[in-house]
Amino acid sequence: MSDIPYLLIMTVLPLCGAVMVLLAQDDEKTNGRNVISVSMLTVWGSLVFILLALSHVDSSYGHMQLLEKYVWLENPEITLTLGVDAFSLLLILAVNMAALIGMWGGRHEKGCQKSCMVFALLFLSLITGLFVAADIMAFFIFFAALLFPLFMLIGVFGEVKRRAALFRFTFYSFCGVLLFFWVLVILYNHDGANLLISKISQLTLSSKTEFMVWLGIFAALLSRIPIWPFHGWIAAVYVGIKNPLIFILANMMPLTGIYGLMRFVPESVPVSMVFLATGLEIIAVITMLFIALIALINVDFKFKIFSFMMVYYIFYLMAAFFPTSQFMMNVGYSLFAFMIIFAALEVLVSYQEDECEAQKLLPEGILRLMPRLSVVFTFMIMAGIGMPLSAMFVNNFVLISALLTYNFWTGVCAVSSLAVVCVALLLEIRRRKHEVKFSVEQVSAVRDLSKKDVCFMATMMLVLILSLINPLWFIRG
Amino acid sequence: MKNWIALVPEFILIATVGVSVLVWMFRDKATPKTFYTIAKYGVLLVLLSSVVLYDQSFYPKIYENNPYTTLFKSFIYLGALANMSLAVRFFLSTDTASFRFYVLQEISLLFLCAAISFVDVRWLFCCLEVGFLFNYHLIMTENDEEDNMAPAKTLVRYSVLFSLATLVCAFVLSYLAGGGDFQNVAALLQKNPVPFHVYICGAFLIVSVLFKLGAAPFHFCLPTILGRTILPVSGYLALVPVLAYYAVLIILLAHVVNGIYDVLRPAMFVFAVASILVGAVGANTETNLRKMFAYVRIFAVGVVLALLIKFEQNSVFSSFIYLSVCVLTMLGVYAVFYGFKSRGEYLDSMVDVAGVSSSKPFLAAALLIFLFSLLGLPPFLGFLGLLSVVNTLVAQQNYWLIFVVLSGLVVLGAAFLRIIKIIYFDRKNLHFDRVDKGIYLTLAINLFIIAVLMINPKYLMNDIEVALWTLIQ
Repeated sequence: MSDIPYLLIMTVLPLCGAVMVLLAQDDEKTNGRNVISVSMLTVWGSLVFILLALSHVDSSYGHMQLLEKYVWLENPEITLTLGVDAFSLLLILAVNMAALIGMWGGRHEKGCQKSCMVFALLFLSLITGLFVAADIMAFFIFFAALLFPLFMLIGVFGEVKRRAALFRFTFYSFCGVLLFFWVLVILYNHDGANLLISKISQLTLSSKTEFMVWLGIFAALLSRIPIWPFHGWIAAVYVGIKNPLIFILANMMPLTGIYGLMRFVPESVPVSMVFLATGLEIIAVITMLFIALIALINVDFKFKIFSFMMVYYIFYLMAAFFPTSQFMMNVGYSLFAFMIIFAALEVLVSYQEDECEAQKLLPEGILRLMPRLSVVFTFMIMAGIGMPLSAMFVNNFVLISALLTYNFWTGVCAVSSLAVVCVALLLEIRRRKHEVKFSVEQVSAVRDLSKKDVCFMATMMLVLILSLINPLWFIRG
Repeated sequence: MKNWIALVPEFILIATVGVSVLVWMFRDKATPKTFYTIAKYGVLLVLLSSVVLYDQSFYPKIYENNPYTTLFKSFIYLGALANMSLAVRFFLSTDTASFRFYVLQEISLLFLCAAISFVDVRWLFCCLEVGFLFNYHLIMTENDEEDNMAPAKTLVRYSVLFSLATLVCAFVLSYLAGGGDFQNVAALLQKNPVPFHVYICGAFLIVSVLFKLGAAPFHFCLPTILGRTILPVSGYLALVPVLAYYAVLIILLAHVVNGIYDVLRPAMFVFAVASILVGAVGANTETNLRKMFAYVRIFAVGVVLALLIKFEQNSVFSSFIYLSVCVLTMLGVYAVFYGFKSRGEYLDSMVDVAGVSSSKPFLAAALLIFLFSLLGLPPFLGFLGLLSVVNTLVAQQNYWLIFVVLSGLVVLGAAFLRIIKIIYFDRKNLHFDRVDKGIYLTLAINLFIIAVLMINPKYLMNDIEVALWTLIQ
């Protein structure tokens, strides 16, 4: 065991980075380069600590390691506990890498100012805190605190046009936070202490309290996931975001809800929440199919990426209701690859859209003018639909098999949704590679990815391939 | 045995008023800064002497100081100092006379703080009522429009009626108890059975304090007054006297009316729920920012009363934490209001501050932090307040009250989202003036205190608790 407080460092480092960004010189001369360099350096620093932490944990799920305790309050007595297992570290790694890709892709964006980066790093710090929170109070603090930077990122820098949806989204997220708070206080008073998340399912509660607690947890966590009845405004808000970094960060929000459900929901579902779990499963399947079908007919590629994300998120969410936790690490490995793919896709699509807008071109055939981008883009799409290019391939296969074993019809619906959304992505790639006649000026005006960009993306592709060869390569033992 | 040393803070305050009057009478070129400087040093000295003489009592059966009274007095003086330093910017920029404001504020502080230390109901209520009636003169400072005078006149009419009735009750109780000190009156109210007229008198003392706190349904004039008075007066009335009234309420509940409190509890429940609902709903109906925050104050008073329904150590502690956090946050909100200025005019309408974030991003961000804090969201200080409140209510198994408080917060959240929408997303209508550096400094100090207290809540949650225990024990 190590005495270094890795988890605290991982959480605080982006916060320190945010302060450094705030102090960084940012004028016409530097043109935001300082800000982006400091931000990326911070994320690289975080990645180093995450990898170091990974070298100290075993690859089991649910066994919290590297535990750190901090006394926060004496009356009421609250000690915050941080702890991780390989699953949460994989998610932290994925989130940081996705943010890094977003920062790389968004470094030329006009909206990518100092304040935007400050909030992005603040968001990263808080989401890391959420993944390392081992007790319910720490989880709640980070769960609620995420709302502030997210609102600032989406509302102020995201250029979202449908503001009514944004306010509804914020309002319902706030209601979710209050519900969670209610549950937190009930549990705290029941046990007289801050509970570890893993202990919640072992509490002996009266049937009424148990029902209230689980209903509160479900509703609070679901308010972050775009399944019915929260699907409408979340989609409206997320799809409208122009900046790739903010799009990527905003789309991590459902991950907090899914992660929460995975951590809170026990293997053996308490009697009072069986109907909740069943109801959720039905709603999830319907939402999945619904979103996948819309992705098929929608021409907006941003919506397709959003649908791709949401269908996969809900697919992973279903794994939370497996009567065993043996597949959770598969979810972790798959999610790790998935986050990198989704972030890379978003950055590449934004790049194409910017070029189309600058040269007044339609997206049809645009990839023919960008051979480097075309290679990377195709790789990412292929990896995203589950081809043997990343950890998604093996792990999704295992998860689908488990889903079909435990609940055949749910599994069929989920697989159909995945297939539909994959078809939507393939159709889009066909559209963008479609043979179109361009003028000589247009051919010369369109800029392909720079060599630097290609090197960066190649690194990410290498990480994905490594995750296919051995998803555990960075974990001890 | 009379210990005159214990009255040094009060004498300093009287001397400060005297110096201000002399300067006003004899100095030709007295600027707003002159009166501010006198008031600042006067109140600082008072604060210092109050802390040094924290356990000195003038006459044990009439006027006592202890850590509890010193804690509240310190908070009151600090709040007043913060408001004074902001107010001077108002008087300098509007080029209006500040003498009246500073002197009246000093007199008000004198009466409010004296009321906290008195252990005799007659003296306590005399000070409290005189101090409250002085508010009328404060409200009228630089405020001579007919429209603005109407609510102040309504308030003074009701205040005089309440004051007279309260004083009658206090003197009747003292007469029947054979003396006005708390022990005698408490013994009278603990008799079994309590005579009806004694019960009414005791209950009226509490109602009188609730009236001053602005709890619903006695809130009728408060939002209008806070919305229409000049900004320094509005800031003072919104932030400072509430601490004194709260301190007096706790003293009365702990030492005077505890014998009849079981009977008063349902009434307290009604006041609490009504204040929470009126505060939350009222905030949604307002387009004037100061009026909106007056409703937020009513909401906060409602939460405090909800905690005091079951009067015990934890409820006193939680209500104090919640109130302190609210006052600190509201101080920040008022500091932001001082920054909302266009062509020399202070803005208080929501329409006027539309799009302020584009030209004053730090001001807008600070307001956003204060709003999130008032909603009790982590990682802001308000979370500690809300945590303390809900934790106590759960321990008391008051689940319905938790539901009311959380529902109120949801409704309040809708009102705050309206403000956020306007300051961040609406098109700018006006050109905003340069913000004084002092305002940024005040905001920075406020945010620093909030950050320190959030990272290490020990100072707020544990150290202050010790001072509060002296009251209960």
